[in-house]
Amino acid sequence: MADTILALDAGPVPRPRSQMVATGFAVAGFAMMMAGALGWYMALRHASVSPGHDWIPDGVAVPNPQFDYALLTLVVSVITAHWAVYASRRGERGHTWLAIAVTIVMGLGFINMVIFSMNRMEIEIGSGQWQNLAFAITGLALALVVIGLFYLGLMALRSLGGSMGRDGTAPLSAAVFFWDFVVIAWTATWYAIYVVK
Amino acid sequence: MVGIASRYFAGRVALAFVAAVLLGLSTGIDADGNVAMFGTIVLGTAAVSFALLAGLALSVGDGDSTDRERLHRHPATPAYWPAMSAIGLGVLMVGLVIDGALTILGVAILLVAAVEWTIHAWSDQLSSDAVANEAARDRLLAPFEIPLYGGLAIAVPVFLGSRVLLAVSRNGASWIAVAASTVVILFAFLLYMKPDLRKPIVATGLLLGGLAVIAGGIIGAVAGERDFEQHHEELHPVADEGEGDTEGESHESSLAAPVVIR
Amino acid sequence: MSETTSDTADMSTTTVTTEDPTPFGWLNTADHKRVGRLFIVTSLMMLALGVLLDALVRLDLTDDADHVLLDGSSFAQVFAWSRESLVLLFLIPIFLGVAMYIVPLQVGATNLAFPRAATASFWTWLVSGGVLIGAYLGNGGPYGGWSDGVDLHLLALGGLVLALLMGAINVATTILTHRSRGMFLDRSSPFAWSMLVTASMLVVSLPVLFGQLAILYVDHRYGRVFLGGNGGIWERIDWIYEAPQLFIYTVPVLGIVAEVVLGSLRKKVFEPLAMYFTIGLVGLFGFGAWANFSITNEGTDLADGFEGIVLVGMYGGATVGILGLLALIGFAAFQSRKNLPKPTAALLAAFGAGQLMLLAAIYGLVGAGVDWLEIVGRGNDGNPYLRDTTWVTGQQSVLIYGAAFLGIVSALHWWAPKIWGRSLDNMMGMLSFLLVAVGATLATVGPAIAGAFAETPDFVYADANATSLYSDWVDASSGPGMAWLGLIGILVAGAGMIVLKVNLLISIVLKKGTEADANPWNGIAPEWMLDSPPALGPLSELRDLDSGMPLLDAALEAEDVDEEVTV
Repeated sequence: MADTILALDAGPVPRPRSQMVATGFAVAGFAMMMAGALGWYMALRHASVSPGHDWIPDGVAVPNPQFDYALLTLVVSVITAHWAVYASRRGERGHTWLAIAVTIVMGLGFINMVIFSMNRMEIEIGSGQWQNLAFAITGLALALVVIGLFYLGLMALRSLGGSMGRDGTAPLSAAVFFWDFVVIAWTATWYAIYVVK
Repeated sequence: MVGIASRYFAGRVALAFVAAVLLGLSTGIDADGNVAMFGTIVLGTAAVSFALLAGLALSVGDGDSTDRERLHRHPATPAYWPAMSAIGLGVLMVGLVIDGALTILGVAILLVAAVEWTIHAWSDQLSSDAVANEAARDRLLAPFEIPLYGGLAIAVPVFLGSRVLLAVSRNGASWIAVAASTVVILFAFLLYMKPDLRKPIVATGLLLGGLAVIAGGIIGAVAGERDFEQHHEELHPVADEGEGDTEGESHESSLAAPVVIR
Repeated sequence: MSETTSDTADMSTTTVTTEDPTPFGWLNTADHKRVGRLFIVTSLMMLALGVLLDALVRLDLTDDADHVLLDGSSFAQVFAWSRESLVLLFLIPIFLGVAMYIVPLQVGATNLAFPRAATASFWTWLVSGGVLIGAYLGNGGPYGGWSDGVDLHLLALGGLVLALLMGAINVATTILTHRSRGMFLDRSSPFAWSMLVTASMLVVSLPVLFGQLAILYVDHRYGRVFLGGNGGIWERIDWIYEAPQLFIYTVPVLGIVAEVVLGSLRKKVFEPLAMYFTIGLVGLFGFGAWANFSITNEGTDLADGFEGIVLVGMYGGATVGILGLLALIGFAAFQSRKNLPKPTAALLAAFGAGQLMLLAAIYGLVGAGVDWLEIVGRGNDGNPYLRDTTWVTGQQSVLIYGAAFLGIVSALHWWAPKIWGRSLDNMMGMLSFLLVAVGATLATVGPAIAGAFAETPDFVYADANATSLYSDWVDASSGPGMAWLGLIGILVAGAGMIVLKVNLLISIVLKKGTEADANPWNGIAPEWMLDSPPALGPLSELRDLDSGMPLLDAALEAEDVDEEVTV
């Protein structure tokens, strides 16, 4: 009987992970940023509400349906973002681009809806404690959305340059991971400021 | 194998979670059941963040990554975009406080730097040949860079120079223009006479000249324009429409005014 | 003399030279070594500003009845500026700079994970630092009279935090994803591990400040509705300049202590996992300074008591961690007692840095314990908490002027051959060590005694004037004298750092220092396998390292082979 040495085929080379790890660190940092802001908001709210004072000024009506639609748009954009990653991993350039474009359009629509809702409340920055806090924290969350959109756009450029397939999708995956976090950050902001009130 | 980093981060998750729960239960929940205290919310988020880092450390494993090999095959090439983005951020910071136009300028600088940086990073991955990568990058970006930077290279010195000339007196502006053009001619003459002049000297001369224009422009812009004489209408009565004979009278100066040849 | 030829592998350090060798190359560099040098040199220059400002503050405290050079409002400004300069313009960036240079060499990478991001982090830090200084000079800052300047100060702080976090994430990602195949983290260099701990703790602590800065900026710029004007700003951001947060910034000192001492002894600790655990413990227990309940008016007796016991636990944990590390290293030294190395400036400074870190932890434990007893009613009633007195300044002094300064003296003396290719003068290094050690001791003892026994207030948020004129406090008799002690201390420690800078100038810039070979210390870490310094640009060869002490492993292996041959 001939001695044969059986060797297993080498497994696939691990995907590059630097960008995902760095994005993960950035997500952790931004999460703490939102926690710092929202935590302070809740503490101030508690200090006002627990002795029996009002928190939201009289006459301020929070447009709940608009904020709900905005949140829904953002949640759906998570699906389209992941669709982009799925298509990119399979090398489907057209679907990747379509999915990213839809995600970005939804993000822009979200920003538009939030700004519209803020205008509808007819609150003025500098006119009160709640107003300043609402503007500051909503602004932070919107800034995260803008950064997320920008990140998606830049990684879309790289996909355009051919960065697709199992290995090449790593940058886009990192951008979508960040987008997932952005949606969670907005959800927390929306809940704390516009639902709990 | 669960590496030491994953275990360390997991330990932090446990501690932060326990601390958040203890703090929340003792002081941090209001009557409606909402988490009300700063410390509880931040500790809870910290637990989640540590869990994320633990997951990342676990997914990366220990020493099995190809990242360093990839970076070694495609080394990062030098670029000015990081410094440019820092300048953009600085301009944005000052603009948010001082002037909205600077804010827009800062954002524009950041946008351009970000796009350039991304394309630069993309081109580094194309091949191991830095020259070929740079050619690919130039092919993609040159149609945008040349008009943009060329336009800025003309517009910015012109704008800054105009601030200087508008800030000083009329005679002063003339003298500055004469002096500046003399310096340029002398420098050009020097380059012609000494073609072997060392590059650092030329670069230093250009840099100093550029800095002088920038500094002068900023100072001029801050100082503001000089007062201009206003030509009043009483000194130069306007001829009524329809009047033909204008002998002895002068017309209001205007580009649209009829030219009278006597 | 050990077999250096077999220890020091001939590692090619030819590099892929795409770097611009002219001065413009510093602007557009993608070489981690250049960025590291930029951070180190610039931070050392910024240190002078921080020490000078702190000296002005302490000088003003030497007279309890009148101001010396400053007045009430400028005292507050200079106080805040000194803290921000010492921490954000010196302490964090200088360790980041050392890490950016050394860590890739230690883990077997050819560069940082994101080389251009490292360059961006330096220039962003520099630009933001310039904006911060400009804001203060224009009467901005947290107590400034120029409203736009106050806003500019807040934005500059945000820029600084962003820049430092970018650098920290870069270093952490390099350690996690760019290590040599087979180099498990618990076999990596202690300095690399300490930087991973520091970077990850910075990522989860500094951004909390960012969120607060956003609210502070909006409120101050638009109406100042609920913060009470400028007065509300400093009390909400000063936690990043105080212990226990300072412990996070000084964790790299522990890594440096382990590197230098174990490298000099050419020894491993008997339980390496314990070493990583103890370093991690210190970083862990530095977390939580933001949870300063008084700033969010969340005070209840229960919260106060909870906070008190938590602080005791945190400082206790840090003390255990540092004690454990020093014990491990001390045991390694004991095992090598028959072959102890000659004392060098790097070794002495490392030894001193470790002791002062321990002192800082015990100091914090004592302070937290006394305060907790006060809270639960078992202390002397009516006394102010130690944390409201200059006891806090004493702890800052031992961490910054003591542990951090000595850590930097040690690090630069140890790694100067690798960073600049020349050794620093050892005698000047010894002088640095002596001055810093003495100065830090005085700078700590003065405020400690003034706080504990004279109850000198540290800083009164509502009325800065009350801090600098404290004759109304319980017992101010020894306050001025202790303030003089503190002032002399920081000036002496500052002189020690000036000696270090002069040493760098003479040895490196003027090239009077001995040209170093690849391994002048006969060190054991991976960076000593490369040329001193490695040439410009990323390394051309990937090195396969399976531990953070490959030269020691090779020597031990050679010894085993010799023994086998002999047998």
